[in-house]
Amino acid sequence: MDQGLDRVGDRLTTAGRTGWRATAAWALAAGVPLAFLGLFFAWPVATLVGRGFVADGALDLTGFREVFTEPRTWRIIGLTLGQALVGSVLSLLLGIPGAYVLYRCTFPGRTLVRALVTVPFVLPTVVVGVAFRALLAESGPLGGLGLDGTFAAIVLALVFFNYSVVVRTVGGLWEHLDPRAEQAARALGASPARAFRTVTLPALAPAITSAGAVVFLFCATAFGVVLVLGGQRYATVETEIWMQTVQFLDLRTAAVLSVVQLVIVTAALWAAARARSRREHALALSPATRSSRPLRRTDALPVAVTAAVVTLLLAWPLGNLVLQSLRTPDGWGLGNYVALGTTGGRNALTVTVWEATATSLRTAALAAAVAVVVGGLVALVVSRRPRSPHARRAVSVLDAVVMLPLGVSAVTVGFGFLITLDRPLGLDVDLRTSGLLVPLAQAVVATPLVVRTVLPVLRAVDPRQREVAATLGASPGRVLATVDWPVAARSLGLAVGFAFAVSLGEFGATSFLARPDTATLPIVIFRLIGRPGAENYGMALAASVVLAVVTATVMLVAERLRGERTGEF
Amino acid sequence: MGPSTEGLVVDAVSVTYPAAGRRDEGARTAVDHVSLTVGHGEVVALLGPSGCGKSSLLRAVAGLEPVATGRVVWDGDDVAGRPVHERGFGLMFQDGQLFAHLDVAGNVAYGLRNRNVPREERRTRVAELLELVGLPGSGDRSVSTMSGGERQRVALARALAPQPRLLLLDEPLSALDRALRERLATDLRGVLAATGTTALFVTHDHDEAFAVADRVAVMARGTLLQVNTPAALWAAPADREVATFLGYQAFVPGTAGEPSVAVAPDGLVLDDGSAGPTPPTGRWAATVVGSAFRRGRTEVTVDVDLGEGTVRCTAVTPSGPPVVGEVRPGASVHVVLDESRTATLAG
Repeated sequence: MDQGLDRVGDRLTTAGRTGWRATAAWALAAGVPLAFLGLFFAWPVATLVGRGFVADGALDLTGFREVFTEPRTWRIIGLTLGQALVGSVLSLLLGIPGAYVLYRCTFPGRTLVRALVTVPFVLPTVVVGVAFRALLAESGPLGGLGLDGTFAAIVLALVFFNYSVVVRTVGGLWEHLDPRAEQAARALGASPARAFRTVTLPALAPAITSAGAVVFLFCATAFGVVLVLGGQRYATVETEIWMQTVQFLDLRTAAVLSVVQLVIVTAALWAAARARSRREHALALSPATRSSRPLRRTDALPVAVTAAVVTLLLAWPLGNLVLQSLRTPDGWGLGNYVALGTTGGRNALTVTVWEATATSLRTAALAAAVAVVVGGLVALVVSRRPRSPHARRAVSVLDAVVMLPLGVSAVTVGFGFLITLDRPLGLDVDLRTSGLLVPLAQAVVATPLVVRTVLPVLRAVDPRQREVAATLGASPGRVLATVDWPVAARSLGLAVGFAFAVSLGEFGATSFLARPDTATLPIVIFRLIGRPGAENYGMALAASVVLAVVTATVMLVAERLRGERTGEF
Repeated sequence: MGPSTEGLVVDAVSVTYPAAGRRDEGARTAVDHVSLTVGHGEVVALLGPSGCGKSSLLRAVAGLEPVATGRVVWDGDDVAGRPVHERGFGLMFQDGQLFAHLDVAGNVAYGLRNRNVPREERRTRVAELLELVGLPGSGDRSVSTMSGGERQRVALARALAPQPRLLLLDEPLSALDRALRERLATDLRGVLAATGTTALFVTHDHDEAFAVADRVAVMARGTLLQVNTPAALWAAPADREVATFLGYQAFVPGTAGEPSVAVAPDGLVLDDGSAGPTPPTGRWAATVVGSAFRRGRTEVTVDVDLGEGTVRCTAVTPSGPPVVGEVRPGASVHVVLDESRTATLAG
């Protein structure tokens, strides 16, 4: 009897001990990212937004009435939604034929075209703005059209930027669709158009809605492109927040606008999440098939559309940017690149462009490291399907929480840093002077991208692989090292590249935090293009080329590290 | 220590799954107080339709599902507090679940690495096992280039490599086509016998269970219906459900309190019409539905009332030349029992 009781006691303690250790490990894995995002995202943003609602220690909502009675506010909201809507619809209309041609057909040079299509998405927004400016400005080849500083110019740049999102998201699903469903429809008497409309399009719908929602989100929160191309005339909610805080120091208006931005973004994220869960479902149903076939004469229309987009909308602005960067006041030459070693005409800058490039690389390396650790931990935790319904709910909450930085304007994050992190938590350290603020803010911005890159790969690991490893004597730690890690490592390479590229091009938050002597490349470019003088303009173009080349190189290396495409973007 | 504590003892084990919804009510019981033993070196098959809880029971033994009630005991030790990787129970899945990032040798050696077996010994053992499962010298092949049957052979070698105390097999042959399945079942039986492995084997295919196992446990709706050797089970199914699951096609109700008789797939014989007196087991009028020539003789599908209403059965023609002419659809015929192909139900 006693012995029996002892044995029960033994059992409870052993079970209790292993359970406790596992729980502690998972709590740590979830706690580190939560603490990071709490300190460097939630707190600064909440403090900033709070300033809009609290006056003299009491809740004060008069700010809302004032802002919403301004006709300017409604014009800005209308313009934000308008440019996002037109930008995403146009991206979808042009991107779906592109997805077909690049992921369903084979032709010589397809790999090259696919790579070219990818480049714009990873280009820093400032570079895209400068490239379109160079094309549409009076001195540019399309100067005669008078598009510089117009709504059309902004929309064109947004489509340039987001075309690849549509092509890659929709194409990624399309190449995995079993062509036999469409062939069966054809055998049942459907014309090619009807088979496409009744079989293929419904199957693609989740990817199309997902891409549409993500593009809408990117368009609605576009900052650098609008700031460079729109100037004062075309403000969106995002640029207006920047304007109100930096130019007019009107925190209350900025806070109210931040809330508006949050509402728009939450709606887009919600739609994207719904579409995504449907897509994961749909993908599980269809086996990965290699279904490409050579181009046919009937493909003329999508081929023509894609060729036009790739040459006119993608290649031309980039080619023109490079060309214009070689034009100096004294004729063609490398003068603008030589000038990158200087601080610009009339000392427009505090540092040389090369110094800024070094700062950018250093900052981005640190930011990428932080983002990969934080995002990797989140992806690891969220990829698990715990048995208990409570734990499962906690996991899905974490999944949603880490996506929030995607939705909050980077400008808000940057300004929030400035007002909260002078003496964080009462500690006697001023993070603002330590040079850590910029990489930390960039890491916050890059973390959701890391999660979205690594998570689908980890989720694709069959849970039974881990079970089989455990029955072969692998401890939980060894299962992580021998089952999850080999699969995740490749996507982690891509995630590092993504985080690095995003940090290199980050402009919204950095524009608040970088001091003149630690300015990054995008900041320097923005400053140069805002200063008068052909010399500064030429330097801005040359610096944009440098930034574009560095970013594209990072992304191409990262892409090489990736095998089968399973990530989100 | 009595023989009952040797090997695996599953004692009144239940497995429940939490409800999918928000509220905790509606938890599903997949396994309901099942007790079962597997002696050292014995191979026991858990046979049942899909969803009967056999895989859940297997997972509970492996430690992959918590046990709601009861105990899982090995050689007298309750393994409840032991995590999966410390139980020493191997597991083989239906689709192998080979590690795609490792080659064949890497897969087979995986469990040995976890136990820090020295490299030389590992290499020898991998070669031995690949030989044993019929894939000698394929250690450096990539698993992605292998056929389904080869993958399962690798999965078997991998599961056996660390010499598990107990091997759990979850429908290891179900994903393969029929001919391959039959050949692999024989090979599996041979490998388990050669290595003296104690095994618990889950399947929904009675032929497979009979081909591989020393004893077969028939399971339905989370409970065990009957456990016995294949021969004993076939000779005396406990009830109609077991008999149906073993493949018996129809039942002749017993008269005056006698038990029913189960009719095997080839237990009905077409009466050639020239027969004399009615046999003591009976003789029934039947209507031909169709016929097919299969495995060297004519199998006739008939509608017949054996005493419980009309059922559709298969009858075979008596040995001799095929009688295709007489079995046109709609023809009236008579059928009798082949007593060597029937079983009397125990209950």
